[in-house]
Amino acid sequence: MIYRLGNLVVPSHIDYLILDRDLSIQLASPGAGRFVESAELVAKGQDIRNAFLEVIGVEEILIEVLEGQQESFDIKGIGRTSNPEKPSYIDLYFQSYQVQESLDKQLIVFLEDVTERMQLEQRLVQATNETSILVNALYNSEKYINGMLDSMAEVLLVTTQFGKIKKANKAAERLLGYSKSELINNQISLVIGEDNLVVEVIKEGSICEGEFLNDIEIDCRTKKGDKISVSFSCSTIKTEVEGVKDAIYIGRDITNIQRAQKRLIAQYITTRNLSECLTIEQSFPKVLQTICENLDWDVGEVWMLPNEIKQASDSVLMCVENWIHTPVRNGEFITATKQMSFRHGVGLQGRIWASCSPHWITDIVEEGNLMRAEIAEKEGLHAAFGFPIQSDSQVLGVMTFFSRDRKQVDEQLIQTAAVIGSQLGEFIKRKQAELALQESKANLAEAQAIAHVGSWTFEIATEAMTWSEEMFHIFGLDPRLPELGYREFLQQIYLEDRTLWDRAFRQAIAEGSDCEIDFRIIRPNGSLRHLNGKVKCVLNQQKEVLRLFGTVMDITERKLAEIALAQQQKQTEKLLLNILPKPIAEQLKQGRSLIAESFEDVTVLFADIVGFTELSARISPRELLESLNLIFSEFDRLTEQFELEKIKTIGDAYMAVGGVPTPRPDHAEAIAYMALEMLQAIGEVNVQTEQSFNIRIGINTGPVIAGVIGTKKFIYDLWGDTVNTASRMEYHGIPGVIQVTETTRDRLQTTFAFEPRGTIEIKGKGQMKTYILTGKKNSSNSSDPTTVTL
Amino acid sequence: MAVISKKICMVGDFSVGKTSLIRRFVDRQFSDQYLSTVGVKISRKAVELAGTEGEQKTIQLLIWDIEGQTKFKAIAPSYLQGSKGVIIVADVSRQETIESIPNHINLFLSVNPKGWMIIALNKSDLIEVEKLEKLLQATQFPEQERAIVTCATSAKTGDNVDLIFKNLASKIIDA
Repeated sequence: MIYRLGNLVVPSHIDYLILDRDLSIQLASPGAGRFVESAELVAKGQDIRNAFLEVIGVEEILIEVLEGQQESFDIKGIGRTSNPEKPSYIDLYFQSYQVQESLDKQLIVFLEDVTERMQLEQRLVQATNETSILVNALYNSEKYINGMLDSMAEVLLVTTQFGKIKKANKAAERLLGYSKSELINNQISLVIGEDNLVVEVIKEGSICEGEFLNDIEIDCRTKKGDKISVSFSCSTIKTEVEGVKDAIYIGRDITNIQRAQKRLIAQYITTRNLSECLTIEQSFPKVLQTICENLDWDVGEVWMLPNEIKQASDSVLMCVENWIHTPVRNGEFITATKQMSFRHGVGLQGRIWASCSPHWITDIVEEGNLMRAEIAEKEGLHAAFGFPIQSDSQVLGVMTFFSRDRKQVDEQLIQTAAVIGSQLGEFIKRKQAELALQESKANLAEAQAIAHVGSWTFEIATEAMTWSEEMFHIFGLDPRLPELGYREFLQQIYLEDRTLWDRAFRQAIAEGSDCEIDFRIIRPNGSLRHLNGKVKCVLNQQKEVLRLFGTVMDITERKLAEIALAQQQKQTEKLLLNILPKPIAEQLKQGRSLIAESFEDVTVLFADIVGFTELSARISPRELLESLNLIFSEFDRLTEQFELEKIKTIGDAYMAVGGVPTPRPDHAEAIAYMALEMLQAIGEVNVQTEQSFNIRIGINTGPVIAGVIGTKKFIYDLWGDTVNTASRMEYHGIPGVIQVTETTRDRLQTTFAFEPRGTIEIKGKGQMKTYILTGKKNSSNSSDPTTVTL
Repeated sequence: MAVISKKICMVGDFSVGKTSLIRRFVDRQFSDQYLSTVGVKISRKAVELAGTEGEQKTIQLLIWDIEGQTKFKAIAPSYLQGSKGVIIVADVSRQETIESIPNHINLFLSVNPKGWMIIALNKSDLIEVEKLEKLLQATQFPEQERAIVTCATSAKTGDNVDLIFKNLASKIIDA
């Protein structure tokens, strides 16, 4: 149906109101009532503002529309919420209206129900806005996280399980010299080298999420080619694909710390070597090797000047010793070295000599004007460094070192080298002086040596034996006694050696040949002496033996030293075995480079000395160390007693494990006995030292990964959540008390007594129920030999 | 005595809390659920004010809840016509909504040069006090003589909500 309204045609879904100048309703279309709360509001004579509040405030504009000064006025999308679940919407259109020229101008208001359209729009806007807020929040959160990562001092690299770099932070850019775009999508081997063990471990996928490989020292290479040491902690993180993990590397640059350590070691070893070396020649290879191995140089050389220098211009530096790191084949370089000599001020060596100070070249290939630069380049040598060997500012020689890496100037190293240079200089001076002294005393020393040798003669015809006075001294007899015959002499010899000696003696007589023999005697006071005997035959012209002449020298001291040395070597081997469990040491010997094995069920114990730091302020370091040694030795003894494995000591903490590397079903019990004994041991140490040490013990049971990681320091260690939680048990423990997890308690509750400690907050784990191990459960027929009373 | 009705508007970017501020002021209610407003919806609230000579005055505020500005749709100026005042709302947790404030000021003044404005930094419960102080300092408009004050508000806690409406109402009634 179409309403005819003057000269307007109005579609059926649109209603209208006609208003006069006072905004009073003059006429309403039949359906207009549905837009207001009650139809009376649109009755003739009503003010439209009662029906439509929206008109309030815009009356002036409506008059302008009525007057024709403005064409129209709309208010669209007016919401009505009589039903809050389903709001309805109306559009209002105001227009001027005049039926006839002669009549007053009026206003017509068209009312259109636009609920359907607006509800659709509402859903669209809602969805768009929600998305927009979400995207914005995501963007901000990502920006924040990236900002956080970039403001980390540590290097962060995220890679796929197979080593492709996915993310790097600013610290990584700074340390490694690569930009993020150069790092991302490249293999991590770009910076940490091929076939690194850690990368292999991660590829194997044996590291779980939340587990860490901590403080692994890895040599990295920067874009420029400089070598740096980085201590990495690695972990993995799940990706959106089931079973595929990403690896996270967080690293700290420890180049300087490590260098400082190595410098100290180099200096210490040099000092020790020099105190042990007998000659100058012996000292050179040792010093070269020490510096090359500890301070990372591949080739080392010693250049010496002649002993007596009259004028610098007449002398040259000659290479007297060199040392090559085995993996480097510097054949040509060394050959060239041997044919060379350096004049004062010429070449690196000559310049060091002339300036009496160390020199450093970051890259000899770039330096160019060095005599061996071309060969060095061919051999892949880059950095060079040298220092004078001097004593009282007199240069005796020069040491030079070359490296396959470029190396930035290291002032600290130069200082260390200068110290080593003067140490060596002093050593050479001292040895030269000793040598001179020795020569002058040579005759006297020889005479003295002879004086300590006893001698005898034996006449074949009469079988009479004569002894020198020293013989009596050596045999521990009184020289005033009558001489002993051969039979008596033989009686003095240690039973096991007697036949040996007699046979040699008789053979000498029969064949007229000289002989020498080491043998032992027993002195009358019962002491055993080692002797060296020489027998010389005196022949007549018919080559018949007339008599024997012999000397006897006491070599007991030397023999004992030799025996002690052999024992010491044995002990050293044993010590090595102590560092690693035997099965692991065996595997390492067989050349297995990566040893990582998982153990499903073990028990880990941590013990920490309470208030150790405070104690160290109170008593002297020496006393402290002695006490610590006493305590840890006790712990070591207990570890052996209970057949457990000591993993390591960390400062004042002690870590042991049961069930690794050889699984055993009673690991938890053994650890529990050990823990109880440890508390007792501390008590005994306190009585002995008059101190009041106390320990906290934490125990946990569960799976671990155990193995040897690292290329230089072989340390057998454990990883895994079980280890972390055991450590937490100790950290959150009570002095003098053994705190265990629920898992451990469940294993032990039939044989051991526990008290609940309650629930404690464990970092990274949340709330954990823990228990205190109070002792062995009282049972009359206990078959256990270790009865513990607390 | 006839109560005077005055039109005021709520203007701002989407999801800054215009509807929530009205709901808190008019119905004393709050909901965390986001429901975007389309078109416009008018709410009424009578406000009692103390006049200059201490007498009680009542003003009925007609509060126009106008749909928020999005990237795709600007605020229709026709909604603002005849408005005596405006509360320009921004969300303290979304910097871009704060950056839009000057645009909203300009839009309102272009339609109503004689209107009054209050700037509400809403959702103040979401950020730290120190941050809020910084934001308040950065959103003062001393060069805008029609801007009465910038307030930190929270429709959730009700903090400063009555204050902004009453403050605007009293400015309108005095004018």
